Amino acid sequence: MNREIAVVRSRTPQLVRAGILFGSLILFCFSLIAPASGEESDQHQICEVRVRVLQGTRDQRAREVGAPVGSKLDATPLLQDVKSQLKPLPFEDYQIVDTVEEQIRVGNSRSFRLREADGEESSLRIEPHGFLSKAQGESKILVSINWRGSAGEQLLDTKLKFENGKSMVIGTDKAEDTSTILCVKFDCHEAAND
Amino acid sequence: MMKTLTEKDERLLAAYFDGELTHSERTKIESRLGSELIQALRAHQELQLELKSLVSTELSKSEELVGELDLWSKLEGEVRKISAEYGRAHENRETGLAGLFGRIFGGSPALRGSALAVAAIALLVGVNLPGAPVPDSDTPNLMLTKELFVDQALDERLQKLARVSFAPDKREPLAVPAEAMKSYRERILRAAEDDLGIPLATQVVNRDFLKRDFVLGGLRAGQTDFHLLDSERDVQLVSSGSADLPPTIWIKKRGESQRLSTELLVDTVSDLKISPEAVN
Repeated sequence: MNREIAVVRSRTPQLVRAGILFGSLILFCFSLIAPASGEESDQHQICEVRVRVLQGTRDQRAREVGAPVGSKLDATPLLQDVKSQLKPLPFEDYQIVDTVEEQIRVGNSRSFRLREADGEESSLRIEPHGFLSKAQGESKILVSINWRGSAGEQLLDTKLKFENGKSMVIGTDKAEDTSTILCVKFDCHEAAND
Repeated sequence: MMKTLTEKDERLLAAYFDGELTHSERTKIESRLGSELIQALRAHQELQLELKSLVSTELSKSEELVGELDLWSKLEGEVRKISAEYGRAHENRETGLAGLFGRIFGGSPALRGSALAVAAIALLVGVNLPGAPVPDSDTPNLMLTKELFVDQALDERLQKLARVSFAPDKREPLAVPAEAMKSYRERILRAAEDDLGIPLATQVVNRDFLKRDFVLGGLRAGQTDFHLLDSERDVQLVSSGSADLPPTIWIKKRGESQRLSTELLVDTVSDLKISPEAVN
């Protein structure tokens, strides 16, 4: 009897400590798994993406990007949301050449064929990686944008985080006085699963 | 001749020896004590001594085990050493992560292996725990090891500073010029970056490291964080003048510039300004 008691007593601290360690390990593993399992809700995230393809016509008085000139932007109601981003560019006139709209589920990507003013087509691949809602403190989205020219050359490959509901303006010179400009607007939100 | 003890006698004797008997039971058994029982009692005493010795040994082993279990705290200390080494590694870089660990942990394979395990777990923590608290700037953190992994994976030739100008107030173009910096950062941190709730590795590095890494390859323009900016042409970021709006990305015509390929690791802690002195 005493022998048993002694042996049990001798093992008790070891067992308790091992138990505490094992329990902590289980909790730790659970904490790693918990966020992933929490994603399995009946909600998913959708981004309404609108891409406008513009042709900008350069003002003869300005040759360099960054030298803002007077433009007809104020008289173009369809571009009011990107007016501030277009104003620093040295173009006087902006024409909307093409518009595409698509819903993209967060985590998925979508490719678009974009028609440009000169008849050429470029390709745009967009992948929203995620977004934070206002309830989470800030409303931001993280997206990848890949833009390739008509010859397949990589014009831009970017991954950036910016405010949800805003547009990303991307442009490139095409000819001496013209340019192609993309206004990519993201509006991401939660949506119920079907 | 010694009388054989029954099992009951053994139990009574043990109870007597341990002082567990009542007065009447004790009197009764004492009346039976003869030379043979005294001899048996001595045998019990020897056994007790053996047990005590056994208990002492086992307890000693337990304490050793506790010491081993406390390895976590020891390893935390080792990771603190790593953070100190990290700074020096920038100037005097050795190839390979194993080399650095070997240098830090000397010839102890067990400790080195354990530290690598902790570093791997720290990497997992960084990837899987959204909203992980950001430690004080001068507090080393296990997540440091994630940055360490990243940094060690960088090729030495990629350590050149990216030349970044940042002058949004003047409404001048933000130039991200051609500094070929194709690094492994994006791939290694991809999982963390995909979750907006997870601070990037630079956030857990102390302030000096953060500034250095930011200049090395990070860019924040207004409220926009660029993680990656890659183009076959030169690129300008044109500020809209409003901090709420992303800058316009302008891609120059082919032939006007050499290939631009810069990969950016951004900070989300605060509005860091890159001073002109730090640009080049």
